[in-house]
Amino acid sequence: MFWLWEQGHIAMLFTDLSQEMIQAINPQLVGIAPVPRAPGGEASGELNSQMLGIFSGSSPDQQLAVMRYIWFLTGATAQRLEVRTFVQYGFGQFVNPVLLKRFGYPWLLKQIPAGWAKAFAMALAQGVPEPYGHNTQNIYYPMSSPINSALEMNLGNQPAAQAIPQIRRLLRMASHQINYQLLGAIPPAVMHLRRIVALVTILGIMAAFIFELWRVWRHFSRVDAMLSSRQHWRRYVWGYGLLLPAFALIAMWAYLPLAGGLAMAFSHYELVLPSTWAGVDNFANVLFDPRFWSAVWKTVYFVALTLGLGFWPPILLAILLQEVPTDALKYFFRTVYYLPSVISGVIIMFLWRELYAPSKYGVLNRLLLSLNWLGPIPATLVKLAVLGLWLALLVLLVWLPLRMVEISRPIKTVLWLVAGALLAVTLQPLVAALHGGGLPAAAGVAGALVGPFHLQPLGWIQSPSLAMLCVVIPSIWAGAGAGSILYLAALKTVPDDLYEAAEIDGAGIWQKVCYITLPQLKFLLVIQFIAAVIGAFLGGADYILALTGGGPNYATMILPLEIFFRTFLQIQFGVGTAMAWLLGLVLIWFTATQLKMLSRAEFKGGR
Amino acid sequence: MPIISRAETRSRRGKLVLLAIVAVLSLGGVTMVYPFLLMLSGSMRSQMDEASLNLIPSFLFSDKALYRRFLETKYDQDVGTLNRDSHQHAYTFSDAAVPPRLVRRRITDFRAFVRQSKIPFFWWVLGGTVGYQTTPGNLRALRARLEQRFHGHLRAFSRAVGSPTSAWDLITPGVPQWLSQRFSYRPDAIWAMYFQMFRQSPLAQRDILSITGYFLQTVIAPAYGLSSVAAYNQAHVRPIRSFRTFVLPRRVPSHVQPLLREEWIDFVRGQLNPSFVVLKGVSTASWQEWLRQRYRTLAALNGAWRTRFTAFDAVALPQGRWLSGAKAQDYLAFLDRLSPAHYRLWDLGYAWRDWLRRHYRHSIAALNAAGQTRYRRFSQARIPMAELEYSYVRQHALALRWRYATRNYVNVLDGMLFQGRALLNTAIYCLLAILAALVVNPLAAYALSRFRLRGTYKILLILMATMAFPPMVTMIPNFIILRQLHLLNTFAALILPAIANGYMIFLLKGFFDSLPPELYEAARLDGASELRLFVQLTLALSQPILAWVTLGAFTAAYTNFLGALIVCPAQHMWTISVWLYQFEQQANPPAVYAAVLIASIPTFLVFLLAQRTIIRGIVVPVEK
Repeated sequence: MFWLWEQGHIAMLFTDLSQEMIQAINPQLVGIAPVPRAPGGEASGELNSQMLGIFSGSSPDQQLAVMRYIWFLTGATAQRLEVRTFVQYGFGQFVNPVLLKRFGYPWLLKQIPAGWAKAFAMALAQGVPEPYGHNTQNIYYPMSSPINSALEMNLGNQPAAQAIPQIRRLLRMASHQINYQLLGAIPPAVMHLRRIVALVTILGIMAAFIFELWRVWRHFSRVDAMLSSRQHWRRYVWGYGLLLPAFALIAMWAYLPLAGGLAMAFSHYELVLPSTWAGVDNFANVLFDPRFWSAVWKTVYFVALTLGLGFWPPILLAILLQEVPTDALKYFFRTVYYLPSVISGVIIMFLWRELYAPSKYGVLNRLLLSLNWLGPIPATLVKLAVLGLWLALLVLLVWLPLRMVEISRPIKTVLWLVAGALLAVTLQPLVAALHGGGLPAAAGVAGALVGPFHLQPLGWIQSPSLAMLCVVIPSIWAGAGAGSILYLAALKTVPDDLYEAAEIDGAGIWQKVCYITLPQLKFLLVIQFIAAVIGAFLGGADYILALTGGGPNYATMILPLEIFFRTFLQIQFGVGTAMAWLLGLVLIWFTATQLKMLSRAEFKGGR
Repeated sequence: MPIISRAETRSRRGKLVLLAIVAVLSLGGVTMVYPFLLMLSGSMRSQMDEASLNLIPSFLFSDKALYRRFLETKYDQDVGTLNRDSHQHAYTFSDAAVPPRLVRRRITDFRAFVRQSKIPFFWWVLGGTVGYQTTPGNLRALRARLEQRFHGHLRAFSRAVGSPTSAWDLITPGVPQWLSQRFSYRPDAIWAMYFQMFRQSPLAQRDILSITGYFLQTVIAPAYGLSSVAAYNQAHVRPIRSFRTFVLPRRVPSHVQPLLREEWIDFVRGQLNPSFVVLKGVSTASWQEWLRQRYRTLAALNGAWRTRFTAFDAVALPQGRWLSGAKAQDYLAFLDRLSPAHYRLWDLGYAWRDWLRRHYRHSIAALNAAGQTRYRRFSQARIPMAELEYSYVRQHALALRWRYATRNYVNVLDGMLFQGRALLNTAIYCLLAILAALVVNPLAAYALSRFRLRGTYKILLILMATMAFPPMVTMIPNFIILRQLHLLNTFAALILPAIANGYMIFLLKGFFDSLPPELYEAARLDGASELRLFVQLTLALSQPILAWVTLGAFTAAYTNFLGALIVCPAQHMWTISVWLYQFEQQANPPAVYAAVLIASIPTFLVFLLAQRTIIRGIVVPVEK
């Protein structure tokens, strides 16, 4: 966005009036105007202040030295020195006019464009400081959410009588959320009810957890009983001794912090002040927090998208790579597909953020808009081809479970449900048009298939509906190559004579893949699937943080990201850890299942 | 390629399918490689075109774009300076004017002028000594030469300069504001080196200061704006055609133009550095008399000016010399008392026009004929700086292109290799992580696999259970434990939490299980000890899985950013990931791309080396 302004493509930018901003602009080219007042005359500028602090762990001497520095830095001498340096190096006209007057540089006031001084004065007179209080580090997130929701619901273009009650509702919800969540102003009766619910829930989860653990333990005891045999005690000592380093390391660096984390979840954890015991309060507030449940829902959506779109590319890629004729080409393609994993993930996200730029100059938008140049006949052909491909995919989703006997019933049902949902989504515009305007409207929708494209630039990561999809695609893109390595090795374990036998029976390529390759890999696929589920639930936080920061109005705020926000940005360690524990306890079940399956495995190498 | 059998590849259909596969893979490969190419081309750009997404930066093939890039570097990425000294009104450097044609004569005339005249040092400035989020060539050269001169001793340099400097790459002299009345400088080692570099620099790299431009910037722009002459013409008596051709008169405008006269006098008395003002029709004696009245004693004068004059009669009238300190203040006060009719402005532009008058013997026709211009008066003649720059750019096109394309890489490598220990830290960290992972995990897996312990799977469950929890839960308690053990900012803090990995132990155990037990029995019969069995038999046969463990440990260590930032916040313990993050905060995107590309080379190399080994022999779980 800033680039558009720097290159002169847009004429106005909304930003804050600070030293850095003033130094970056040219007074001969740019003017400054204050934020206009609201229709009712209310001030609408915001004042921010700089905060200076001392690290509490420093010695008293250090603290005194830092305090002296702070006194100096905020005093008149430092201000005068700063202004003098600016003036001396020729940047006098960028200094706040009030300071210029105060320190005796009145001739420089003539060099400052008229609008600037006025903007400064208005900003100071009208601006309202940011709210400050308990837990208000990121107050602007919940404060902006009613505005963002109103924009999303397009309330600005609705008649006032209709829009104002909705706006009032949004504001009520926001203030309720801030009161309850940030300021902790919860009535005792409500708190009591919540505590009871939380206690019951925790006990229930613990019971389920312990039960599951006991079952898994018993299962493994049986497995182990089959394996172990009587041996000399010295071998036992050796064995456990060799195991000790790894065991001790994991005990110290995985279990100990977990226990510490559990203690944090039951307290109001403070970094500097002493922590107080909170009982189940954190869990209580988490269970009744709409943002928690919204994050859970978004996480499920995220996992569904990640697995649905991202589980099969590595497999497909491995199959394709295996069939490449020459060795050199194989090496070349493997390297090329591994390239995205080589650069660190956050940079990939920054790169994709550039590609997703919502203006018409963004790369993806430019590619999309280039379709507008197609003539009517090629455009119609492209549209029909895309529609055909989409319908073919749906047909595949329905046909595959029918033909492949190995797939178990639940998976078949899931595949059919997904196909049904996608079909519903596809037909929805047609149905809506039929419902609304009858046959002519439906004809209109169908008619959109014919004729040239009239595409507009998409919002990508800034549009709430597309944001999650846009966030998932980069990690799929980057992970395809690295993930295919394991499958490449796995494909080698499938014996060649199976293929030959199938060919003699007259099997084509498609049948060979469906009936030999995939069934042989079924075990690995299931294990990888469970691992992918766990990975999708736990990961993605840093990528989403880099791409959307939680999305347009929390659209991409998955649970790990919500935990990150609570823990590190709102410094609510207790609440964040409580959420993390809830998530972890649910995922333990997946891990145990995965391990149960792995215990049935033997390892086979390729040739 | 077992799925498509050999016989089938011979058939037409088989060949078609293979072609389709290669085509699809190539298409996919293009999408993999395209962002890399974007990053590669992006790493060669500068602030001017950093958001452009063409695959090849335009300055690599277009002379005009190269010229504009040269301008961006020379004028310190400040388009205001470009506008002031070249009398244009560009919004960005990509809009800067390019001279339509080169007339050799203008350039040779100018070079002759420079050779024949004594040009004071404060009439022009060396370009490219300041960069915004980047380090231009002249700044790097200045720092390098200072380091060379002081033989790398920062202390000696700090003493010579009079202010503490903690690193050579923090030296930033800034652009001298000779034109400003408020500017002063104290000669020190940095200034000495600056002047030395200035003397050795080519003409095209020198930024000629313009009093007219300064006047437009400081007086006209705030009051009337510079985008159109309408407001100016409305207020002033004599309209001008454009600001581009406007020249500030050397002498004070007469009372016919009262507003301009007032602005001129205010400017000269209040804004302009007095070194640019010489006096006509004022005797040295009056200057000396005035000084005598002001200071009364010679000692007071010498004390204030830090000079050693023997008499007031020895003090000369400053005519085009640099004035600073008390001397400048006195001269300014003296100017205030005089009538403005005595003031004469004096800068390189005015000197150039004087020289042209002498050279062409006051014949404007001769000037126009020689330079193919259409001036009506000598006062309109412009310094051919744009032509000089353009011809310099054309002459050194290849060298400049190479320098600009590699500038970001040079700066990044400087920071990564020579400042701080990021590279060393990362190398040690990765090595230690790999070694530790290769020692601890195989040992545990061997124990689980060969020793038939009671509770093998229960132990495995315990080892793998913690992977179900989000990393956020363990990060802060980890930090607290490390702090209590006083292990912060050490390699132990980076390595210890991540050595033992339950999943790796499981994979290793599976691999060891798949090794035939007959081998072990045979080796036992031959009298091999347990250690021998482990090292020479097991590890030797497990190269693929060990390569996989190595790749995993290396990648985890190399890309570990958040963990490294939390446990090793001190600058001397930064790894490359942390350094990259910090670098990204204060560098422009092209430099960040360069840094990322350089930082991805080790991972790529490790992958290339490990690829074959891994795929050749890795084992996968299959149902029993």
